[in-house]
Amino acid sequence: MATFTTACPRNCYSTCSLRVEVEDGRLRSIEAHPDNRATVEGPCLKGLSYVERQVSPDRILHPLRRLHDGRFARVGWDEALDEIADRLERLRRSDGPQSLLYYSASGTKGLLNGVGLDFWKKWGGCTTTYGDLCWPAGLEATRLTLGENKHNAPWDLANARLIVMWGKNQAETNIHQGIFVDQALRAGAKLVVIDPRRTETAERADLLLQPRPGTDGALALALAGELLRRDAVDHDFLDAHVSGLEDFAASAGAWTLERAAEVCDLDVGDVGRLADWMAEVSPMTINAGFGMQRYTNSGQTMRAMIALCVLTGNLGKPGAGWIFADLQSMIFDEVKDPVAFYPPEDASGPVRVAISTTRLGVEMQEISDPPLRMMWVERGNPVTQNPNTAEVLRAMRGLDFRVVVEQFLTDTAREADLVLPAKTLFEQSDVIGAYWHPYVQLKQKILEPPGEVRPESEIYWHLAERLGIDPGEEIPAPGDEAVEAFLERRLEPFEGLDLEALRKGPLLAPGHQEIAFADHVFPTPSGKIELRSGEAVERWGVDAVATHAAPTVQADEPGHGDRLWLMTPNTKNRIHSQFNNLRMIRAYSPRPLLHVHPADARRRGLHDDDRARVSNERGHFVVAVRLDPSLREGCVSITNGWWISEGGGSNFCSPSLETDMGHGAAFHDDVVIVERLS
Amino acid sequence: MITPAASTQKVFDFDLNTCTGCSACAIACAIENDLDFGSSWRRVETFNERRLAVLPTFHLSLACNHCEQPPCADACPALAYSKDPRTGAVLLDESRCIGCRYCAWACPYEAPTFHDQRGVMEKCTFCAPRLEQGRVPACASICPTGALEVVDQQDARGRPSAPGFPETDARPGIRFSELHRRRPPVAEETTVAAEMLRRESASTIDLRSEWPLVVFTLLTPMLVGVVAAGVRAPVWLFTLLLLLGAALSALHLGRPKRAWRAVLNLHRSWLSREVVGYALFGATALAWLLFEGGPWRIAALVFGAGTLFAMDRLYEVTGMAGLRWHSARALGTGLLAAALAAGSPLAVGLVGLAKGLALVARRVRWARKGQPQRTGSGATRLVTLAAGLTLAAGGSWVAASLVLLASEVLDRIDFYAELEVTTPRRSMDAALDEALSHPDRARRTFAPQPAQEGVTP
Repeated sequence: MATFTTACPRNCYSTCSLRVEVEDGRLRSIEAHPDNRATVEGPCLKGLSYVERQVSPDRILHPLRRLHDGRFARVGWDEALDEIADRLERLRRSDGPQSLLYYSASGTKGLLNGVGLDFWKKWGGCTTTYGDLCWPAGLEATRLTLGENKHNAPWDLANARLIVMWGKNQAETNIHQGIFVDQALRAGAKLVVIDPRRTETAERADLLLQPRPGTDGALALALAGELLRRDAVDHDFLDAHVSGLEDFAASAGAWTLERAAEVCDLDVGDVGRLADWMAEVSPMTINAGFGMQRYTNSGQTMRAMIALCVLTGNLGKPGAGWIFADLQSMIFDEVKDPVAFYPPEDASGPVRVAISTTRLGVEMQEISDPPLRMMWVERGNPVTQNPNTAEVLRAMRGLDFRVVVEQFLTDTAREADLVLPAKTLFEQSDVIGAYWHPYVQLKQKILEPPGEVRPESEIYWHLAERLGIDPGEEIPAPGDEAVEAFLERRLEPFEGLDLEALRKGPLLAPGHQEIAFADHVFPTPSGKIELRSGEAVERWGVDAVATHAAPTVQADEPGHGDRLWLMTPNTKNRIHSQFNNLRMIRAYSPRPLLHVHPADARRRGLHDDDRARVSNERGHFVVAVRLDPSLREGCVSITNGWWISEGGGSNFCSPSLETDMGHGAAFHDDVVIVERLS
Repeated sequence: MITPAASTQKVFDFDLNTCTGCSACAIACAIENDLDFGSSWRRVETFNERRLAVLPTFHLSLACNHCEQPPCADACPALAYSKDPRTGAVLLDESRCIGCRYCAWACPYEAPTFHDQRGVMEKCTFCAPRLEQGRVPACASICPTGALEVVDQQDARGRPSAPGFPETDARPGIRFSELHRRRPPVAEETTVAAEMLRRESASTIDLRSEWPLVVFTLLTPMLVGVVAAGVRAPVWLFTLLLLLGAALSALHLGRPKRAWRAVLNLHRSWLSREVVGYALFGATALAWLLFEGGPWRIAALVFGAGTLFAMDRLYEVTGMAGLRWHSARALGTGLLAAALAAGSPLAVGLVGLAKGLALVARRVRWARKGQPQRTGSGATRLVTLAAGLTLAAGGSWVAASLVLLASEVLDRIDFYAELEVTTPRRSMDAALDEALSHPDRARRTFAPQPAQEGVTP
């Protein structure tokens, strides 16, 4: 039995460090690596389920070609690659390289992910998407205000005395954070949870606010206004490090607690209590989730929320701060998110960054000169995950040819002409960062790929060979040696970071600050925290200071109309559309369920297990109902990521709308009609 | 059974406050023990899964609790269970297991489960091989929030009980932290709650798989009753029925070839006593039929009554209330059979009346507890019972016997359908019902109480 260090590369806060035992070419156990202080106790159920995922009989082990009847037949690599090369040659001559859409998403982290785009550049170019489905509004709001996305190390949360979990269901999406929340609570901290759902996280809260969806900005502004009115602000901090206070104070001043309570439909006493605690309890950490920044007003909302930390001086000290994303371990990126995923100012390069990932389906069909003919998808499942599924399907089906690199026959893979088998995290080494903890980690190759599986870098290398492209250093040759040389080259600029050290365990990112902004350096245009931002106006056309505007749609008041908010949060059982096809996970989440408040259910004659049709002007899906009194009335909720083939399809209803800043997806500007299917 | 000293007994130490119900523990268990994907020896049960705002929601991660007085080991007729004196682990030797599933009835924690393919029970081993290496069991080792730990008994911080955790005198090896609720409950409509709380949990005892037991537990009292009445059945017929009873109960086992092991735990298991009693009754009854000796008949009567007594007692291991005076008790069926065989209208009438009263009493108690009523079957049972008694009073013995047999079959089927094994799920559901119907008491139980300061995490 051999033991290896590795790390889970999923799009997840925790990015756990793992110790894996291998016996006879088989995973024997997966445990926590003790050197990662953020994930020291153990991986979650998904991390453990790799034992099944690695050997699942559903895994794609050979290239597959779709037949006329929709089934897939095995083809050889030579046949598959010859066909792709042939099509690419013809495409380059007929419509030009930019008629190929290269679409990649967040399925796995790693430096080798960059090989894809390097290949397409060498080939002559391609079209790609800009923006991101997940977190742009919050990233951009943070960047505009603080200059950089970083926060205190995860374990520092134990020092907080007021924790505000704002739209974050930590107990499901960041299980490992629970240890530090618990340490803080045992030391006397208060926990406030703000979420339209009474989540698992809310179980431990001293105060739970369940606001009307999309009104968090009003709440934040009113709290800020109240803190200013009470003069419960840190004047020294404001004088030394903050610009734009007066303009912001004018915006926040228009919001009283009473007005916010009405807009958010909250008990004004509860809102007052939160204001009291913010005024009196220190240090305070506000931890914002991702779901609540998926409205069209979210960037401005997040700016108002950050301002609460700024006004009270809760930045740059232990137990205090704004937790959204810590990109300090992303040391390899010259330009960090969110700027890295914005369209370039100079659009003349070979890569046409021209399709908003939020409006993928619509813009794939609209784009011209040249129009799209072919699509290459890797690390992504846009049919399930991108908004407005009907348009995504229409766009994909309108192309001449589709290649999808996948481990399983996902909704997107089912649309492909050719499916190429993808590696798992155990089958090729790579170096990854994280966005909650500050470690750089080696995701180590531990097992040989089964069947005919080839890592993407090898697929590109073979294609380059066929197309007469010099792979150079950017596309490592097949085999472990070239991959390790590739990684060592990327690690070279960093003292103390090399593969040998990383094989032993995770390493703190060079130069990382355990207490973010402890040096009070804020890399904004003014060098100060910007409560007023010129860039916000120029780049996004929003007000210079945080304001609150309602989302583009509104659910009806309960009893006064049919439309309900549709929320699509994440679950502990999946990372988006990954994992639920495994029996280990299905045992805990056997089927998709639409959670409906009992009062809303009663008005629609819905009971447990009834089939409901959920629809709006974009589309519909049908799903079983579960009555859930923990939801706010007027809201329905279904966890995102269920494959259509598993009975999912919530994105048939979600809009192709961007957030107010950051080119994010406003999934939650989504209201639906829910009817009982007889 | 050797009980380990407190110093070596290990226990689970579980924090209700930090468990998020993620079920990683259950998957870790499956990996460590090479179980089928999707199954596990550990499961997470949730109290107030619907998150009614009047009550807290919390989880219990449960497997075998490696009790100090393990009821599974007492119940097991084949002596397949042992307790490891070094760790306190309750271990199941699969090579000794006959697959009778009786331990699953006895265990209030649903720890032993039947493996269909292998025909034996399996359960949590406390990760005995890991404990021997000084390592923590897999479930506790990977718990992402550190909510589940395994410690020496004297180091455990928690208490032996938690809301909804089945209370028994088995002294389970698990301790629970106190639940620290941090905010006052919110009142809400309980009618809505009641509608949602329809139970989904299936019974552990499934009629379709237990039908051989229904036949066996009807056949045996009838044979005993006939002997008691002194009616001499043809030897071939009596032998055939005896063998049928034995065959049915053996075929019902996961490992019929090991059926002989069922007699090994006469010391503690009512199942062993029933099996041994049945064998002795059969032997002595046959001897009576063959040799006509009065002492043989008396011996057969004693063993027969003993068998029926054991047969009734063995169901009490489920922890279900009201079994002692159940209208379908085997002893009662035996008495009815004896009265019918003896052709005594008075005896038939008295036994029948007692059975009818027991049935009515049971249904009244159910109605008071708000349990669902099987009105149809109860009424049919009463009607057939009355019809049978009327026919017997009129002297139509064959018709009376047939009608009363039908009535007994109905009641026995009902008995199995009603039989419920105590499980954590049922216990937590009952606690939830209790809390919802007595909100004042629940408010006190789950009153907000901030965590103690200075407690080391």
